[in-house]
Amino acid sequence: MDREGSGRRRRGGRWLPVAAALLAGVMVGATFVGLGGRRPAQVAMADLPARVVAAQRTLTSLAAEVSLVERNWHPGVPERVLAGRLRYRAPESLALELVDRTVYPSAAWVRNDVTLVVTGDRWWTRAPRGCPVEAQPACTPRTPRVRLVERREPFADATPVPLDLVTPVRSFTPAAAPVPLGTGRVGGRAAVGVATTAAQVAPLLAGLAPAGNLRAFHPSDPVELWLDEQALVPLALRVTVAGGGERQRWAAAHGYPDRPGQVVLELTLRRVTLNRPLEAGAFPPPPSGASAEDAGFRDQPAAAAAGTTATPGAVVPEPAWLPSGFRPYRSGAVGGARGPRVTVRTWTDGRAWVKVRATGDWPGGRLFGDLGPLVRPLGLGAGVAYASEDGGRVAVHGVAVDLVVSGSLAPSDLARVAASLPVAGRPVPDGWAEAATATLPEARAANPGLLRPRDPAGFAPPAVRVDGEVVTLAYAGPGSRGFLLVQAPGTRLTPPLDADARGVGVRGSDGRWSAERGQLEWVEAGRAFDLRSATLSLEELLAIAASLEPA
Amino acid sequence: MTGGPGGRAAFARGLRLGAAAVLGLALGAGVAFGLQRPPSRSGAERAGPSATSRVAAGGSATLPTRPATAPADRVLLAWTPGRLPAGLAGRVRRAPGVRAVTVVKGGRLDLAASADADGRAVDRPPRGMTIPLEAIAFDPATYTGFLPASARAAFRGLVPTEALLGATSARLRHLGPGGRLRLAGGRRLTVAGVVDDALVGAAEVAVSRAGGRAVGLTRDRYALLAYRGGRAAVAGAVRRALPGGLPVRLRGPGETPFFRAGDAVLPQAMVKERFGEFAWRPAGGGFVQDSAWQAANLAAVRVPILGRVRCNRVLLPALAGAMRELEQHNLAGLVDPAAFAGCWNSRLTRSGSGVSRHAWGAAVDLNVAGNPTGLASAQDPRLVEVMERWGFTWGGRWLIPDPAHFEYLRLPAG
Repeated sequence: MDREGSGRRRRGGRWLPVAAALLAGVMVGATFVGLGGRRPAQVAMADLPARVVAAQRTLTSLAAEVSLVERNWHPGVPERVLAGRLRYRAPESLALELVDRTVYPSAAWVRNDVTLVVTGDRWWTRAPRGCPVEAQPACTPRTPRVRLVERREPFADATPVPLDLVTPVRSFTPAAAPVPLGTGRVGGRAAVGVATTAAQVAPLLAGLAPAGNLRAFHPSDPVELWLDEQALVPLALRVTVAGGGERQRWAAAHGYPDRPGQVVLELTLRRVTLNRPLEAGAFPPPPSGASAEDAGFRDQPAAAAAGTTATPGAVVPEPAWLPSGFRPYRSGAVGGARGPRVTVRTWTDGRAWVKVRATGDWPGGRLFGDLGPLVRPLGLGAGVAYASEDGGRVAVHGVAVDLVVSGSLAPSDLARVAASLPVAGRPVPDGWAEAATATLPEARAANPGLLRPRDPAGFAPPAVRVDGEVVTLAYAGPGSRGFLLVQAPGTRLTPPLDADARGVGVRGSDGRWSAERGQLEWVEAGRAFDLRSATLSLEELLAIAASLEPA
Repeated sequence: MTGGPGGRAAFARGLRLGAAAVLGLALGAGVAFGLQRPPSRSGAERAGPSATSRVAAGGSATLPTRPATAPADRVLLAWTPGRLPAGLAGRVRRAPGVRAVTVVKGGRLDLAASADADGRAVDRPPRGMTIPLEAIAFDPATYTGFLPASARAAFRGLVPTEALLGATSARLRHLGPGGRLRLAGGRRLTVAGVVDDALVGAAEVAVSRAGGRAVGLTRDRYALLAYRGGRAAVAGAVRRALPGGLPVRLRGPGETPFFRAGDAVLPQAMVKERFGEFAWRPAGGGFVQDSAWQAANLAAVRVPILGRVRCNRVLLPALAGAMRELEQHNLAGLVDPAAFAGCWNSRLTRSGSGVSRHAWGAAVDLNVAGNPTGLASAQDPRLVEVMERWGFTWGGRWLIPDPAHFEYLRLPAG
């Protein structure tokens, strides 16, 4: 390698990114708006979340070619190109196969070939194991990891089907309506575009990385998403590097050479066909010899799960209301050996689904159904239910039975399903994690120095929980907005749980913000404060912190 | 460090400004730690009022509650697994915006005995055994620039045969100024003062660089940088200064309770506060611990899912609680009892740079078969969530991922 040659390369290296960016811009622009197509027009899109939720019910199958361009995954590999196919058959069969076509610097780099196949009760993946970017390429094992799970519960969280790749229901909540970009054509199909953020489309982005080692994106990164105008299937997605010092610092911490405005991910679906029969072999079987994990779900006839035949454990009663067109899907039971026996029933009309899980053996301590730390009570006629912060789960604590309703419907519809169950919901017992155990005056009397937000606009008075010297205030607001404020004695924060923990100024102190957890922590006057929310931004949490005053 | 009067002036300015920013380290620094309750046994009380006398002579052992930070000055901690690569400080120091750099050496000192200022024996490990202490060695010329002005004298005046104790260490040791530490090999250190944990990265013992050479503290463990301008640029400079393939952790004020290497876990002094302090001796490639400590602190009991485990008594309720919750929620399948690699194990860390928390019986390795060190996690997120709620920190987020490892961090939440 001669010096002159190096110099040429360096000079070329200065211009190459410019030229590449120009070319990429031209290509992406053409892809998104369609060469020669009509100019995007602004359209009203306030109802898009509802349309996406509704559109899933019309989708029975999808086939598409997928191309993926990822940038800055590693300084030595500025761009990776993957291509493959996506197949979907309602309600939960999906195959995503990506072949890595990147030209790597050497054979030492392991290709990120990824396969994910779900066919109802079976889920399997094959992909390389990830490892720290800095330690690439040596740290990646050359043999991909194959994971096979059988006897999978329908719509199981642990072995998820990335259904947001097909219809991005979870990426659009009523609380966060996207900004319209207009209409255009993508891959020959009429498309509607929205501007959103990586945080909002996280479920969709997560669907691209069921395994393997794709790069991370900052929650604030702008995302341009183009959906099929009729079916609202994602046709193209582009993630751009956000500006600002915090974003730059995050990139530096990850070792990503990101530049503000740079496009770091482009996903495009081409040759999309909808609602047509899929080819044979659309959902390939797992590699022979792969050892299977037993997820423990045992299918049963719906009659058994509904309790119309003699079966042990709790039964799932029939909801009096389901959206029109919903029909029974899989049902059965899981657990029972050492934990509670849980009966499961599901319904679907295609892509959309509802699941009800029930148990008569719940040991208590917290609500059945993994609702998370912040729940909000819902009036259900004469009884009460509890919704998770995002409204995606509704739990009912009944007499001798605990239930949870989940699904891809709007939160209001899930609550309606729960309300139609013939179970009278009771308030959670005082000892459970979700119970309010005190009033604010009682908490204040027991904990002098207790602080509370000054009239948080739009939030109801808090539920108060006192555990010794630890006081938790839970605020529920409109839609899915809510936050928790936990105060405990302490003069120093614990070591950080996250690599991305960021220092922020809070009430004149050095505090810590974890975007991954939605958690703001600081220490003040001998008390450690923990302000958490899955739905409020850092700025909103800082404003709440700033408003704290003696309770 | 700098090339001339201008450079020296700039350096000094950097030190001054850096010091102001580093005062943030001291903010909120107290004797008690985090959300934990202090131990009922107060070593500080036994050490008496003389515990801070040397420091008081140089200013005040009680730090200001609010630092006089200058907005233009910032501080960054940088550490890499095992040790910092040679020459890092010199390369980073030349980076634009970097005003000052100090490299802190660290390692283990083996305490053979100690005595208080009046000569009364305090630590008397069993014959042939020593007490492992986490120690740092600082460069007085550069490190003091990162300290509040009130604390600098105590650090600058330290002679090679003297040491400073962190506040938690002093409580553990029941020692104050004038106390004596006798190390394995016969070296002796006199306790010159007791300082806030934040000033010594929560180390148990701090000595000057010259003192460190004498006692074998030669491993560069972490660097502190004072800088102006954007953090991303400095972080990038640090990364470029590292050899390829070496991950680095960077932390700013507020992001971690102590500027130290391995900041995701409790410092050793705080581990000792909760799990006790043992003496040990090398044996057969590992270590044999004081049997009295073992009898007092370890217990072998049956817990759900895992069966019989031998752990520290303090850890057992949290471990049993987490396993019980998994079982009650039908998540027992997330833990493979056959791939449980144990809890108590008297050994050093893999890098050899410190004492493994397994030596206290304060950590467990779960599902080791599918979760080798260095690779991304194959743990189910629900297992991680339950373990974290029960007070464990998870190695899957570490700089070198150790996804099988769960280690005590705090009392269970809620």
